[in-house]
Amino acid sequence: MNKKIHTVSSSDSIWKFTKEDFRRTRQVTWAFARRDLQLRYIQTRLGWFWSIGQPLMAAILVLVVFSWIVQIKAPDGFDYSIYAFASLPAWLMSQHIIMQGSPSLVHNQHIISKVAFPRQSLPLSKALVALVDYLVATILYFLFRGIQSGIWDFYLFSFLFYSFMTILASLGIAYFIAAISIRFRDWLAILPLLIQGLFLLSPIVYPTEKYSNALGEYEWILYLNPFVAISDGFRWTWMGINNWSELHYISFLMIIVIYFSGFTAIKYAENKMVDTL
Amino acid sequence: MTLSSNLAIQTENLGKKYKLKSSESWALKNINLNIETGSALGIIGPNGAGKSTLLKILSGLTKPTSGSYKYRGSLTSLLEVGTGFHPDLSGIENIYLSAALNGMTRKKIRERVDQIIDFSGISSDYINQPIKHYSSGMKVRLGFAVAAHVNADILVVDEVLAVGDFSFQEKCMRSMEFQMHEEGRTVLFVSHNLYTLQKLCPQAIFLDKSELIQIGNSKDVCESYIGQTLDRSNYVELEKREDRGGSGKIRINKLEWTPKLLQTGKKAVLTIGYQAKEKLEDMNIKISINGSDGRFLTPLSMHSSNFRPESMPNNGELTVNIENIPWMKGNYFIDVRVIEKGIVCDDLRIASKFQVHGGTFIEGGDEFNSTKNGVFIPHVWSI
Repeated sequence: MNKKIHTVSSSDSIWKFTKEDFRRTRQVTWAFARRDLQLRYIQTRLGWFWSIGQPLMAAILVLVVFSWIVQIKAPDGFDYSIYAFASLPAWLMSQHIIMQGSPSLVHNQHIISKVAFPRQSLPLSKALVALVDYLVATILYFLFRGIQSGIWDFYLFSFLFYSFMTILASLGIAYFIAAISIRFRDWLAILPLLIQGLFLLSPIVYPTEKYSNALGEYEWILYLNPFVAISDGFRWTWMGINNWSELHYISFLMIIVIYFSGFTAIKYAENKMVDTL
Repeated sequence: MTLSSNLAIQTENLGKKYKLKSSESWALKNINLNIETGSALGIIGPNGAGKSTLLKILSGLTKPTSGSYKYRGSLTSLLEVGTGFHPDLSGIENIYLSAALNGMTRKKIRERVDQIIDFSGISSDYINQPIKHYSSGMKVRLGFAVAAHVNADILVVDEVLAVGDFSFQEKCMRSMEFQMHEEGRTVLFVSHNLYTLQKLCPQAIFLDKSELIQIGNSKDVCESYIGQTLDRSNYVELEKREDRGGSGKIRINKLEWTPKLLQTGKKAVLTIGYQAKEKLEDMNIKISINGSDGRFLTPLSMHSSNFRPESMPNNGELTVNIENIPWMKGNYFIDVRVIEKGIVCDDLRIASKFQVHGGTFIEGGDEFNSTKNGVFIPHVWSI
C-alpha cells in the first residue's frame, strides 16, 4: 500500500493546489479543448476555414473603416495595414478567450454540478482553442508583412512574451466574469459591450500617442488598459517601433493585477459554485 | 497525513452548513466514518437526510463547513450516467470526453476503448455516429460502459444504477462487484432501490436528519430504515387522523404489512385493526391500492372475496394474506372504506403508504423495469 493519502479539510485555504489538482487541470482542459475543436468541425459547414476567414475579414474591416473612412495614419511613414494588423491576431485571441471563457462555467453547469475538477480548466480550455486560431492568424500576418515589405525577421522572444501577456490578461478577465456570473448572470449580458469598449479604448487600430489628445495630464487613466502594453509590445515585435514610456508600467502592472484577481475570484467561487448553481 | 493501512476513507466530524436567506441549517452534522479498503458501503436515508451532501463533499464538489476527511489513492464519483456527453459528438469521441472527465488518463482510455464499446453493445456502424441519433437506451448503455471502466481506487456512486434495462444493470453490477473483489476497489453507493443496495453492499449506513443514525449489516440497516419511515408516516398516526368521512361508527386504527420489506412475488400479510362502539353485523371493508400517481390499481374487499362473517366483535383485527405480491416496484397508497349494513362508517383516503421493492413475480422472470406502477397477473407464454 503505497498509494497517496489525500486530506480535505474545512480549513483548507482556497490556494491549496496539489500535484493531483495540476494533473486534473491538465487532463480536463485538454478534454474540453478537444471537444470544442471537434464540435467546431462538426457544427459549422466551413469548419476549419474560419481559422483563416475570421482574421482575414477582421483585417479587411479594419482597413476599410479606419484607413479608408476614418483615415488614421501610422506614425513615421509606416504602412498603416502592417501597423494596425500587428496586434490584431492578439486582439482576436483575446476576444475569443473573453467571449467564450466568461460564460463557460454557466454553460457547462450540468457538468460542474456532477464532476469535481479545478474550475479554471473550462476558461483555460477556451484559451487553448483560441491559441490555435492565434497561430493561424499570426502566420497570415507574417506572410502578409513579408510580402508587403520584404521583411521576414522579427523578435521571437518578444513575440512569445507578449503572446503570453495577452493570454494572461484575457484569461484574468474571463476567470473573473466566469466566477461572478455564477451568481450574477447580468455580467454575461454586458459582455458584448465590454468587448466593444475594450476594442475601442485599446490602441490597436490607432497609435497610442493619440491618448494625449484626449485627457492631457490624466492620460495615465487610459494606460490602466492592459492592451496598451500588449499592442505596443507587438509593434515592437514586428516593426521595431519603440514608444516605451513610464506609463506603460501601469499597463503591465494591470496585466498582473487582472490575472491574479481573476484567478482569486474563480478559486474563491470554486467551493460555493455547486451550492449556488 | 496518517491513515491506518486498512482504511480507504476516514471522516472526522464532517459537517456542512447551508446559509438560507435568513436562517442557516446543517445539511450534515458530525459524520465519523471509517471505511475499509475493498469494502462496499451503502448509504440510505429519507429525502433531505444529507445523503447527497455527503456524496458531494466526498467527491470534492463542495467543501465541508466543519471537519475533514482522508482517502487513499484516487477517487472518482459517478453521480450521473454519461457525464459530459455531447449530442453532436460520436460515440467514440464521447467515450474519450466522459472518461477524461471521470478521471481516466488518455493512455488508459486508449487501452480500454475497445472494451468499453464491447461492453456497451453498440455496433460498429453506430459508434462513429453522433449520439443524437442514438436511442435513449443506447446512450445510457454507453454511459454505463464508461462508468464501469473507470479506474479509481474509490468509487462514489449515486443511484446511477437505477436507470437502464435490467439485464444491463446486472452486467454493470457484476462488473463492479468483480472490480471490488479482484482489484480491492472501495465503493460508496447511494440508492433508493434497497434491493440493489443490499445485493451490492454488505455494509450500510443510515442517515436521518443530517446525522448518522446507524451503521452495520446492510440488511439490518435497510429494515430499520423501512421500519422507521413507515412508523413515521402511517401506523402511529392512523388513530389520530381526523380527515375521515363516513358516520364515524367504526374507525380503522391499524394498517400494517408483514414483512416490512415488501418484494414483488413474495408473500405478504396486511393486518387491519378496527374499533367500534358496538357489535357489528354485515360489515364490509373495502381497500383500494393506488399507484403513487393516485391511480386505482387493485381492490381488496371482504365481500368481493366472499368473506361474510355474520357478526364481528366491536374491536378486532383482520388479516389479508397475499401469496404473491403482484405489484411492481414502486410506491403505493391505501384508501380504506368501511361499510356496515349499507352505510359508510369510515372513509379514509391515503390511510397508508407502502413501498414495494423489486423482485420477480414469475419464477426466473425479470422485474419488467418501469418507473410506473403496475400489477402483474399470472400468465403463461407458449410457442
